[in-house]
Amino acid sequence: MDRSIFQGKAAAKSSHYSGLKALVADEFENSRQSIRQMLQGLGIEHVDQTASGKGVIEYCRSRQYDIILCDFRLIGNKNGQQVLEELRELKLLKPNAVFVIVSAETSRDVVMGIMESQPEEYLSKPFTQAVLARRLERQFQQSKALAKMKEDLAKERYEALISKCDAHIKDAGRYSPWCKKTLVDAYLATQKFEALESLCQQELAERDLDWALFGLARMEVARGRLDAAITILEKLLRLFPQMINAYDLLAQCLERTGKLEDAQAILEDAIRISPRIHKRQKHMAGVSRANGDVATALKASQQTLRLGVNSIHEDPDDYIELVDMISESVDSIDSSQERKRLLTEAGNALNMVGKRFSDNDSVKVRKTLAESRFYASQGQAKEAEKSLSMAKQMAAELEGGLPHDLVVEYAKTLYNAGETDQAEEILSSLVADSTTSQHLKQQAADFLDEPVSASAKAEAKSLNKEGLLSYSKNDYLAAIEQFKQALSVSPRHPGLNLNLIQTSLKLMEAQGQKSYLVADCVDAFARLKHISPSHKQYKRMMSLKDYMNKHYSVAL
Amino acid sequence: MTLEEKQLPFKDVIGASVKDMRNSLGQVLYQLEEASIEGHSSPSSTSVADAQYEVIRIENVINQLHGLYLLETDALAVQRQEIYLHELIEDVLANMGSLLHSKDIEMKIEGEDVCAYVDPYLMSCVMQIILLNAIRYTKDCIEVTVTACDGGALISVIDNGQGYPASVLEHFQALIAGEPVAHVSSQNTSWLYCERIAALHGNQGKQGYTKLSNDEATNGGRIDVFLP
Repeated sequence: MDRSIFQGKAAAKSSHYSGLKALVADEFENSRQSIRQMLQGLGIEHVDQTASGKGVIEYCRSRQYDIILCDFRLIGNKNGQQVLEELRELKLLKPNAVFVIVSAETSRDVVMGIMESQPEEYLSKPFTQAVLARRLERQFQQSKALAKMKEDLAKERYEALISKCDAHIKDAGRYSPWCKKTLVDAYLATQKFEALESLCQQELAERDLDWALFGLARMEVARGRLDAAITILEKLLRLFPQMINAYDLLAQCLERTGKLEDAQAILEDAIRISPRIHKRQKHMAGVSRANGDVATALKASQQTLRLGVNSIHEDPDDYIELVDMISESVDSIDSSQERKRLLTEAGNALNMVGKRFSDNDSVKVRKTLAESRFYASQGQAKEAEKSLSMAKQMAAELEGGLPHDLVVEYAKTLYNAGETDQAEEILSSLVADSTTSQHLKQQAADFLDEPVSASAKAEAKSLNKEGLLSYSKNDYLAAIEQFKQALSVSPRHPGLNLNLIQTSLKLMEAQGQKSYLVADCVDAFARLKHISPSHKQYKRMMSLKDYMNKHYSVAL
Repeated sequence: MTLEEKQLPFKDVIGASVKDMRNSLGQVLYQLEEASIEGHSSPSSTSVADAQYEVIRIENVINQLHGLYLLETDALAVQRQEIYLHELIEDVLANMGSLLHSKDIEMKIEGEDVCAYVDPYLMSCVMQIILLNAIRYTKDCIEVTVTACDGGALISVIDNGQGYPASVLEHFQALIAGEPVAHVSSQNTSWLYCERIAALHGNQGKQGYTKLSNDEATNGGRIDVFLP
């Protein structure tokens, strides 16, 4: 065989490497030196080095590198994965630059995180110069062979891209696997579903392939057939339990079909495999919060913030979310030490968001509103009022007044600070306004339904479950007691109030009219004044009202 | 005293230690490469080659130790990609650097360059274990053959040493069959690791496997790895 496999030096000295520029980043001096010498041994004269992620960004601002060898562990608060994401976001990499993440790590969370950031190459330590030479050479060859296709892809010239990929596959080219995967993307972008399906099915007839199944699932999502997508994704994950993108897509599909608890279970699996991804933790925070799983939502909010800081994902939203999550859940924590720690964490998050976004006036308003909600949740009415009036003043000074997307946050703060009538008025008019986005409308409606803390929601939810169980066993007396208990923590919840009414009606159907039950029903209807015709429980409420009117001649 | 799970989970102790060892091995390997280039004709070159052999052995032991631990705790990362097997094998040989050169072993890579759907990192670990084993037992030649077979690929590593005694082949069979291991050694744990990694590779109901035998042509040892 070719001896040059072992002799990176001899093979490369004479090569085309001499004019290239390389950067080496590693926390250890001796590692930096040896990798640098390996590169110089390959004929690369210009090799810079740095120990920190910040250093990599600065070097890349001043110079365009052909090769960057970056360890996952770096000095400072950015790791190699975050550095790569940031360089891409800031467009500091040449289109044909080779970014290699080097790592001695074998822990799954790190390996998966690195893979998800998709570096051109991943090199695990220890490695020799000959291996480095081979990998670089392969990258340059690939980059040369695919240059035109990658350009088409970047410029979204899909027709040209499809024909080049087809030609490469027809010639049985070395990069056919890449071309096939790229074809799936191109077919999706151009909605050529038949071609996509035929390509993936053809591949799947030969062998089980995660990307082909994933392509079919994405196609079903694009066609709006979420149930079909769910079936494919479940099959995919049975065959490839570590195909991480499939978990994310499956959780989205389940969420969109209203199966929130299943979505959370899938996200739990995904986080067990690859926890270091900001968008995944954020998704989990939202889903678990909607499920009333306070502990999981709090943990996911903490992780979201931790992963966002010092990265391109940093978002004031994450700080505000964490503060709200702590405000709303701290009362359910048993240990006083843990409660104290959480309150400090919320205080720190408020300070941090103020400092890190000090030039953003709208963030300042949000921060001050969150501060007011935080004080209100801790029973510090005076401080809450003070922050609220500060926020009001800041909002008034903003050009164009309070931004539209902050109205719900503003109304929630008013409500928590005791200005409930005004809050309701604002939210009701937001729901009625046809120009309001669906997302904001939903937020407003949800708050009107349950303007209580996350831990109260969770308690009400679990009591409601118990009530439903009693109801299904025809134990209406127990069910009524459980629904009433639930309503004592979340009085405006539409489902709960209607459950109480329905159960009372059932009991009276069996035992005859009871004036105290009729009174309970009237009270429950009175708590549902905020339900508008567009509310998903409106129809149910109206039919129960009709029944009451007809059988018990109560005017509602 | 036991470690408190909350303070420091033991899996993190292992992870951090393995990371440190791999970092250090990288440095040692680099120094040895440098030394072997500087003194390639001097009498010390054999001892450098011996040291290289031992360093790669340590690397293999760490890989199989940590790999089996991660498998046991369901925390092993498995990411399959379409990979050309000749390329993967040549990479592994390149990592063995001047060891092969100084031992003067003839390496042959034969057969088709099959594109297989494998986890390249895990399969590299497996191939490095198998190849180092062959280096230990061969006389002067190792042949690696890749064959497209049964919808997948068969990698055969054949040496021209004395072959394995019947007792070793029996032990291997018992190990693969899942029988309890009577005498735990680095050799049988490495085989177990290779078998388990091969078995992670499945396709249309078929599963990967390893097989140890003596080669009919050379009478030396032979390991086959089937990847469906």
